[in-house]
Amino acid sequence: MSDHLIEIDGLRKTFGRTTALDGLDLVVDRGEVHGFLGPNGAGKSTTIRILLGLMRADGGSARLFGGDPWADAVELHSRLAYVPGDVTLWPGLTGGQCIDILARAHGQIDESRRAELIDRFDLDPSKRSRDYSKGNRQKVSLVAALATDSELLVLDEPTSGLDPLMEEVFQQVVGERREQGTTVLLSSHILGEVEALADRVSIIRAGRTVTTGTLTDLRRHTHSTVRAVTDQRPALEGMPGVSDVETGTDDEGRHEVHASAEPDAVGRLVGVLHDAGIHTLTVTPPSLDDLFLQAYAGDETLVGAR
Amino acid sequence: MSAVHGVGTMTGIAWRTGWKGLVAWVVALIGVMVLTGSSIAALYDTPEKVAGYAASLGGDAIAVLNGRIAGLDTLGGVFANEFGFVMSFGVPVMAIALTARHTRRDEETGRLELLLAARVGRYAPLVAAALLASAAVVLAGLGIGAAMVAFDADATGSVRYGLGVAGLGLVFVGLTAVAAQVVEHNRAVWGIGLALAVASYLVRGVGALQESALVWASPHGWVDELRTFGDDARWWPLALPLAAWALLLVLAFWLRGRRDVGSALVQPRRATPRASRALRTPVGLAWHQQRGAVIGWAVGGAALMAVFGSLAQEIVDAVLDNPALGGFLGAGGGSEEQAAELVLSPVMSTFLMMLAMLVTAYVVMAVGGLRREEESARMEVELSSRRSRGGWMATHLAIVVVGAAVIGAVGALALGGTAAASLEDDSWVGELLAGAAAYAPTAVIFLGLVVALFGWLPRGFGLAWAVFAVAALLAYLGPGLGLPDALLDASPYLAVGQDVVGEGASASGAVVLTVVGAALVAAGFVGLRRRDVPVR
Ligand SMILES: Nc1ncnc2c1ncn2[C@@H]1O[C@H](COP(=O)(O)OP(=O)(O)OP(=O)(O)O)[C@@H](O)[C@H]1O
Ligand SMILES: [Mg+2]
Repeated sequence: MSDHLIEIDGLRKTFGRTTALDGLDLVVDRGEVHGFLGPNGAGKSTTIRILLGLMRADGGSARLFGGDPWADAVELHSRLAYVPGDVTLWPGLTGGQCIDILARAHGQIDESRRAELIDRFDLDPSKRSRDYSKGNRQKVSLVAALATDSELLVLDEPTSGLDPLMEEVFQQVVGERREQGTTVLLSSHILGEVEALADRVSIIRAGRTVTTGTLTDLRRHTHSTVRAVTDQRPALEGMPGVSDVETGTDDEGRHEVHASAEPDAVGRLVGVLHDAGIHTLTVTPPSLDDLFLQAYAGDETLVGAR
Repeated sequence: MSAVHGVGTMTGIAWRTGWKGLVAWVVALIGVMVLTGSSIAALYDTPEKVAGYAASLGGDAIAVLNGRIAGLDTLGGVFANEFGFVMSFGVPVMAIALTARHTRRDEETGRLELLLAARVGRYAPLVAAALLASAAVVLAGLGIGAAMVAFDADATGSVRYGLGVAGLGLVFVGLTAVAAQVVEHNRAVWGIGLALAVASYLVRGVGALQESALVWASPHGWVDELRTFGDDARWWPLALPLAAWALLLVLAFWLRGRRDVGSALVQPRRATPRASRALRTPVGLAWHQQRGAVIGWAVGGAALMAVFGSLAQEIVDAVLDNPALGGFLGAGGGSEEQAAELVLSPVMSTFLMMLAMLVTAYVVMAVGGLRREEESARMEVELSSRRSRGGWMATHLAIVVVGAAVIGAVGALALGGTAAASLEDDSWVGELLAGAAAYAPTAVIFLGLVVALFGWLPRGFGLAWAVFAVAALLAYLGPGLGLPDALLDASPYLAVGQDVVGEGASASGAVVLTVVGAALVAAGFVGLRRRDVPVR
């Protein structure tokens, strides 16, 4: 068997007149934490539901553990645990009872891990689920999924509503599971979480994959911002890989330069600035936020990263 | 910002989100009266026929079901009697539905929190909900009165009757508003409202049969006490529902002021942190979810049936006391037992039909619960486990079937047991249990309908309640309106036989209902296997 636990190719899905997925690709390898990102309505939850055999694709292919998620749903499910984005638990049952029931659905529960996770997530398991706050409800779903020995965890926005302290616990626990070889598909809007956990990310928009790769890969394909003050006017015209050049002069007659440069062009650009006599120089690598904002907003420069 | 700031805004929101239901209720109730009026007016087209109506009813027995209607020898009285059952339950249920929708239900789903955070005062949602629901029942009442006038009933009497009906609705608006403050969940609000409606209906029925002051203890009785179309008609009993409405709303506001949004006066307890072995099995979980409903429906149904059954001897006496009928029965030369059998079997069949309606309503509601599972994403989690879709639904349906059987059996036993005690004749127990079994196909066909809808048209689940309403109405009003048999048989409740106790069940009807029902269930399973989850 290949090492792709999840292999999605050209997936399509429409709901009436809405096109939810429009040729989406996604590959998740064994043992990795894969960040799955995209703006609201991009199609993350729909992709996950097709992957779980809950919905049927209109086109393209989806393979889970090498099998067909629609036809072989029941067999494939014994190897995974799924936490939906927005689940209302059984209102009359306590959090602890919900954990037991959910865990039974996911597979075999590890009793000691159950107790440990309840403790680490600081959850009161004897409260009825309808009396929980949103964050606490989310913890119930998470504990149930993380306390089982599933090979694959499918988490759809699992940390919405968690406070920063619990977010930290979540990251630790998922990190530990990865050490043990668990594969995780993590749909999320929280950049810090993705940065801390994900080996690779896929960003989708309007039902298509915009970019996929490691965070370093993604960074490599985005522009750095360069600001400098030089004594002479630098000769930047026509430099390959350099764009958005703005120049001006300050009160003392020095030249102010602002430009953005592709990763490969930064060295040459700094060389040219050096020849012009650098007074001050700042080079800002693209922040993760910029990266996602560019991808979310549909900045086409990123598409090349695929 | 005052505590009632934004009543206008809230009323606007409530209207925009709920106008369809509101209009549907008003139109449906007026529509039933129009239907009743047009058929009765055609059937009883001379004063002589109208005067003969009371005699055709079989004496006082009908008072248990419809109350003691004054002026049965006038067209208006006949309308009121024919409409009696729809009014007894339709109007309270309408008031509960409309009031609960914009109070506890909105609060439970968190919608209210959103609005209260905006510039809307604390009491505004309750004021808006009470206003809209009250306006709707008054509108329905006036429309019903107008429909009676249109079919030539006495105008003053019709208006009086319409206002009486509106008054009954107002009382239940008030009761629901109070219940919505006391308990935390929409389901519990409904439970309280329905229990009160059944209790009020039963108290009125007993009071009416005994002609005792007990009728004054029931809001249903207040409508009858207007003696609308009688010679002694009067307006002043209208003050009772109005006063009750006002007092109940004041109480609701007072209670609202004493609690936080989302909370209730009755606070939940802590409980065990581990699921029992049984709860961890799919069947155990499904049973846990249905348990409360099954017990509630069984107890409610049994109470209703027990009251009816215990009146059996009184019904026989009331009929035999009627000189015209008593003579007719006595002339047959039969024993008192035979006469009792003759009088009681159609009445008991009607009681069993009511029980069948309760059971089918439970089936529709319980299978509707699967939609809750889907909307809450619990179904998604369970289907992402090693459970097949078919297995998941089969488990839930098995519990629904058991629940329906329990509700039906307990109700039939209550009716049979109390009737046997009242008549001092044990054979009634077996006879009524057999009669109840004859209604089983009605549950099968409704099970088929709702399962098929869940599999193929999950968004159209509301259709099931529409079908239920039409089938029940047809069964209640159809025979009295002289509709053709072919049309009557379209209602499952009549297709199994029109007097199952006296004449036995219709075998062909039972077979058709069972076969079609089973086929629909199978189709529902096929549909569920093919469709997307969730459909929202
Ligand atoms: N069951 C459904 N019926 C109809 N339309 C749907 C359904 N599920 C999703 N859609 C539509 O498909 C599109 C993709 O939705 P999806 O829930 O997959 O997005 P998402 O990426 O998970 O968004 P979010 O970040 O908000 O969770 C949206 O336009 C949504 O409205
Ligand atoms: Mg989503």
